[in-house]
Amino acid sequence: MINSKELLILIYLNEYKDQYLLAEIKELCYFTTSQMKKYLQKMIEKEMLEDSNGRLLLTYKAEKFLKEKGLFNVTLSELFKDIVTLEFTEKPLSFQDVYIPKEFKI
Amino acid sequence: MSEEHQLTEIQEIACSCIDRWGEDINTQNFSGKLGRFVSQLGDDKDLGRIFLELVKSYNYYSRESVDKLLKEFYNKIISELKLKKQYTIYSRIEDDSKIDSSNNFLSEFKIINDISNHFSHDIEKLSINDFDEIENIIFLDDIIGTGKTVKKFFEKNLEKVRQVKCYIFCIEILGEGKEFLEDYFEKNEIECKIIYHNLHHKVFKKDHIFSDNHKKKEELLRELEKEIWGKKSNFILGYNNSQAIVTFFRNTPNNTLSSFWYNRENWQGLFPRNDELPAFKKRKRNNVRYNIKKKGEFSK
Repeated sequence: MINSKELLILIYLNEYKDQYLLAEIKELCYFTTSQMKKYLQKMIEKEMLEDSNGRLLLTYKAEKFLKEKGLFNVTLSELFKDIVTLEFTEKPLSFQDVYIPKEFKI
Repeated sequence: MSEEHQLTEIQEIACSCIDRWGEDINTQNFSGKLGRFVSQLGDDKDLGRIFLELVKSYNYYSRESVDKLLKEFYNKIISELKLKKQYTIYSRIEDDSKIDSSNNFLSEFKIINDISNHFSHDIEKLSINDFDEIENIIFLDDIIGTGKTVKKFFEKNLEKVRQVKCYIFCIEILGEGKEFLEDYFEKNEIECKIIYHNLHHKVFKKDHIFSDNHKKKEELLRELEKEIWGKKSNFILGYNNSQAIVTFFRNTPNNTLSSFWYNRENWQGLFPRNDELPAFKKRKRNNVRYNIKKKGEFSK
C-alpha cells in the first residue's frame, strides 16, 4: 500500500527524473532530513525506487503503479492548481427544480 | 565537409561527451540534440565549427557527479582541514541574481552530508556577538565567475568575516575571478581559502580552446548572440562576459555563453535555462488530494 507522501514522491520523481533535488522532496512532503531518508529507504525496500549509485530512479513496478492509477502523465503543476468546481451543464437547473444541498442528511 | 562526414563527427563528439559526463535525462540522445542545435546555423560553417569545438570542452555535471563532489568537499572539511564541527557554520554567498541555485546547492550539501540546520546560517542575520562562538565559515556555491558578487557580499559583511577563517567551496571557478578574489582577500586582511573542483578560463582566451583567430571567433559568436537577443543584454557571451561552458543537472548558470541556454522561438539552446519554480513552491497544497483523485483513479 502506498500512502499519499509516497505517491507525491513518485509523481515528483517521475516528472523531474535526473533533475530532482532532495531539498525539494523535503519541502514537498514537509519532511525533516532524517524523515525523508527513512521514507526513501522504505520506498527502496518496497521496490518502488532504485538507488543506482546515489541516483534515485523509479522502478518498473512504480511506473506500472502510476500508469494503473492514471497518474503517469500527471505533473505537480496539475496537482497544485486551483480547484474549479463550477461547471456548465447542458441542462441548467430552473427555479422550479428542487434544490438539495450537497451531503444533505435527514 | 560532406554532410555524411559531418554527421559522423557530431556523433563522435557526442559519444566522447557522454563518456566524460555520463548519460541522464539531459544528455539522452545527445547526438540528435547536438545535430539539431548546430543545424540552426544553416550553412554557417565557421560558427558550426566554433560550437563543435566548444562542446568538446563543455562541462556537464549530472546529479551523480554533483553528489560525489559534495561528499568530497565535506570529506575535505573533516579529514584534511580538520575543522571542528561545533565551531563551523555553513552559508551561501548571497546573490540576488541567482537565489535559487545557491540555495539549492547548500541545501543538497547539507542533506547529503547530514549537516543539521543548526549549523547553517544566513550570516547577514547573525549579530557580531554570535561570531565569538564561530571559528570557521564554509561558503558553498556552484560556480564563481568574475568574483564581483563574492566581493560585494564580503564587503557587506566585512566586520564579521574578518573575525573568522573563511573557506569558499565551489565546483567551477573562472581563473580571473579566483585571482581577483585572492587579491581582494589579501588587501583586506580576510583569511579566506578558495577550494574548487575545476578552474576554467574564458573560452576565447588566447591559446585556450582555439589556437588561432580566437578574437575573430569571439566576434562571430558575439554577433550571433546579439542577433538572437535582438537587443542589448548583459548575457551576451555569458553574464558580464564570463564566457563559461558549464551546465549542472538542474540548470545552466547564466555565466555560460548564452547561445547554449537561450531558448525561444528564434533559437533553441542545447542546455536551456529553466527559471520556473516547481508548483509546490508557489501554490498552496490544499488542492492536491482532490486533484489526485480527480486526475487519477486513486479513490477507486
